[in-house]
Amino acid sequence: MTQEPVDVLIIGAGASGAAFAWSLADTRMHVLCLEQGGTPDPQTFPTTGRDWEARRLGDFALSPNQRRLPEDYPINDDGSAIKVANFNGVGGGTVLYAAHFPRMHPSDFRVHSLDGVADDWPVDYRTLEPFFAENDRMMGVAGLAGDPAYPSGKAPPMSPGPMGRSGRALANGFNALGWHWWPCDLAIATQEYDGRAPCINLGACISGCAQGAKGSVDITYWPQALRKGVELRTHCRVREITVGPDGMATGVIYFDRDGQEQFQAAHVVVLASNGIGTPRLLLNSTSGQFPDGLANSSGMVGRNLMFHPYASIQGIFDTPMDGHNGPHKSILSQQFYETDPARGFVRGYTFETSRGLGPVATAVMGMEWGHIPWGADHHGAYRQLQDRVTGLFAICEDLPEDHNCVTLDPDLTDSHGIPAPRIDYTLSDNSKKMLAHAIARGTEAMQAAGAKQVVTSAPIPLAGWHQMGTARMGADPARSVVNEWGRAHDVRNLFIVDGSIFVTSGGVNPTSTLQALALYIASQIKNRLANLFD
Amino acid sequence: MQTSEQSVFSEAEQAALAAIVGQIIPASQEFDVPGADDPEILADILISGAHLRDRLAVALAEVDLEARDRAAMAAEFRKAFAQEAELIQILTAQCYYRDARVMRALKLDVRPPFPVGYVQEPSDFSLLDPVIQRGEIYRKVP
Repeated sequence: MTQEPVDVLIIGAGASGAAFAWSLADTRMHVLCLEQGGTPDPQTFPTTGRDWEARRLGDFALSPNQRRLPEDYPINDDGSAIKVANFNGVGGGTVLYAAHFPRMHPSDFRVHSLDGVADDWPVDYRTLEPFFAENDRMMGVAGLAGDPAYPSGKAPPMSPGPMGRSGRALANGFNALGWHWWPCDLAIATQEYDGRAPCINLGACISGCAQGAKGSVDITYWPQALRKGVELRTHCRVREITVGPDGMATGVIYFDRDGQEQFQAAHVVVLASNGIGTPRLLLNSTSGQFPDGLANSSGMVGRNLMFHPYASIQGIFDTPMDGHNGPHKSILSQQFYETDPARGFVRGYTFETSRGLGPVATAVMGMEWGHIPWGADHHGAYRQLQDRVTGLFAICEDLPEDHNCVTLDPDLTDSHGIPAPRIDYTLSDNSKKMLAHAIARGTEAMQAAGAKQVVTSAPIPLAGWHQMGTARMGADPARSVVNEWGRAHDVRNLFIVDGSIFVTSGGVNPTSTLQALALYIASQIKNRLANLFD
Repeated sequence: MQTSEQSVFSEAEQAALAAIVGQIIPASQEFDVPGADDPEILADILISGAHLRDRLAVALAEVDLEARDRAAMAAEFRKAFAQEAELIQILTAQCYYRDARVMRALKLDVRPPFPVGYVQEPSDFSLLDPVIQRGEIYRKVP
C-alpha cells in the first residue's frame, strides 16, 4: 500500500532521531518517524518487582540476541571481541543507558592534526557548543560547572547527583594520587524538572527508570516533538530505502505492526538507526544505481566500526559502600584522557565509577570471581562482599580501522526475513595498550581508595553500547559517506544523524555528542531549506 | 504457584536440580536462612528456569542422586558440566536472593526498589579543592 508522501521521514526514534525530529518540527513540515519497536511502559520496568535483577538477563537483557523480543533483530557478533548492547523501541539506547552524559573534548575533533592518526572531524567543539547546551537543557543534565578537563562555559542545568560512599572513597583515592576527578554529568533529574520527578536512587538505571528521573528520549524529546506535530509510527520496521531514476531517495518500504509491507514516500529521508542499524539498512538498499548499497560509492558504509573497549576494575572494601543504591555513575576521572606519548599509545580514556552490586549480582559476581564458594561457607563469604564492592570502568577511545566492519550476514535474517548484520571487530594494539594502562592505573586508584582486593578484566565482552563510525562524515566523498552537515554525498536528500557519522570515538559516552550533532544537522537543514538539494 | 507436576522439568530432573542447588547454597542455622532447595525457593527456580530446561537436561541426567557425599557430587558435576553449572548457579542466585526470608536475614527491605527508592548521604564537594587548585588539564586545540 502506498501512503501520502511526507516531507521528512526519520528512521529510528532513539537519541538522535528524537532530537532531530524535535528540532526540525520548527519548520512545520510533515515529519514522520518510523520506529521498529514500541513505546516503553515505565510501570513494567524491572525495579517495580523483586525480580528486577533477574530481568536483566531476560526481557531487559542488554544484548538483542539474548532478549529476542519481537522488535529485536539478531546480530551475528561471533566475530567480534565486543558484543552489541542496544534497545529497540521509542527512546532507543537511552532507555537502557546509565545516562552518563560527558561531552567529547575539543581535542577529539582534531585527532589527525594533534596525533597523526585517523582523521579530523569536519566540525569542531566550538561549533557544537550551543547544541551541547541546548541538548543538556532538553535532556535535563545534572552536574557541576567548572570541570578543569573542559573549556569554561559548560554549566549543567541541575546540581549533581549523589557521590555516595563509593564516590567519596574513590574521590579520596584520586586526591591521594593527585589525579583529576569530577562529579559526573548525568541526564538524571536531581530535582523536579520539566515534568520529571527527581531521582530516588533505585539503582537500576540500565534497566529503565520507573521513576522517570532518567532522561531517556521517550520522556524528554518525544513528548515535545509530538506536541509540535511530529508523527511517530511504532512497530514499523524499514526494509529498504528506495531511489528514483534521478538517484534521489523516494521513500522507504517497511513492515507495519501487522506485518504488512507498506511504501511510504518522502521528500527527505533521515537515518537515525545507530551504528549497526544504519549501515545494515544502507547495505540492504541496493539497486541498479547503487549495487553495493545506498550512499556507498566510497565503500565506507559499514567500515571503521568503533566501540569503546571497556576495562573493569572492581574493588572489595572492608567497610560498606553503596550497594546498588543510587545512579550507577557518580564521579569520573579524565587524568589520562589526552595523549601522552610516554604511555606508549595515543589518545586516552575516562574512568567512570560504577557504584555497586545488588543482592543477586553480589552472589553471581562473587561466585564468578571465586570469592563465594558453593556449600556451607557460601553465607559467610557472601556477607564479606555484601555492599562492599565498588568499581571503576575505563572507557577507552577506539580508533577507526577499515577491517572493523558491519556487513550483511549471508544466512541470518530478522523476523521479517530482512538480512541481519554481521560484525567483525578486533582490538587494535593501541587499544590493548590503553586497556592495560587503565587496569594498572585503575588498580592504583582502587588501592588508594582503600580497597583490600581488586578484581580486573578487559575488555568487557558485553559492552558494545556505543556503535560509531560506520557511515562517517567528511568533506571528501571518496573517504566518507556524509558531508560536513550530515547529507549523503551520493544521495542529496538522504541524511544520517546517528553515531554512524562519528569520525573518531573520543573516550567518553557518546550520547551527548551525537545528540548535539543531530541538533546541529537539523539546524543546518533549517538554514538551507531553499537550496537543500543543491 | 506451579506444582511440580506442571513443571517442564521431569521429576527426576527436579530431584537432580534440587540436589545441585542445595549444594550451591545449603541451609544455615548460623545465619538463620533456608537452603536453595527449600520448597518455595525451588519452586521459583523451576518456574524461572523453565527456559533453560533443554540446555540442562543432559547434565541433570548425570547427577548421582544416590551419592553419599553430596558436596563431592556437586563438585564433580561442576567440573564435568561447567557451562550448565554456571547457568544453574546464576538461576539459583536470582531466586535465592529475592526470597523474603533470605532478604530479611541480610537486613534488606523486602520490597522492590520502586516506588520507595533509597536514601543517599549528602555529597562533600570540598573534596574537589585540590582538583580545582591544579587548574585546567584539557588539551588546547589550535
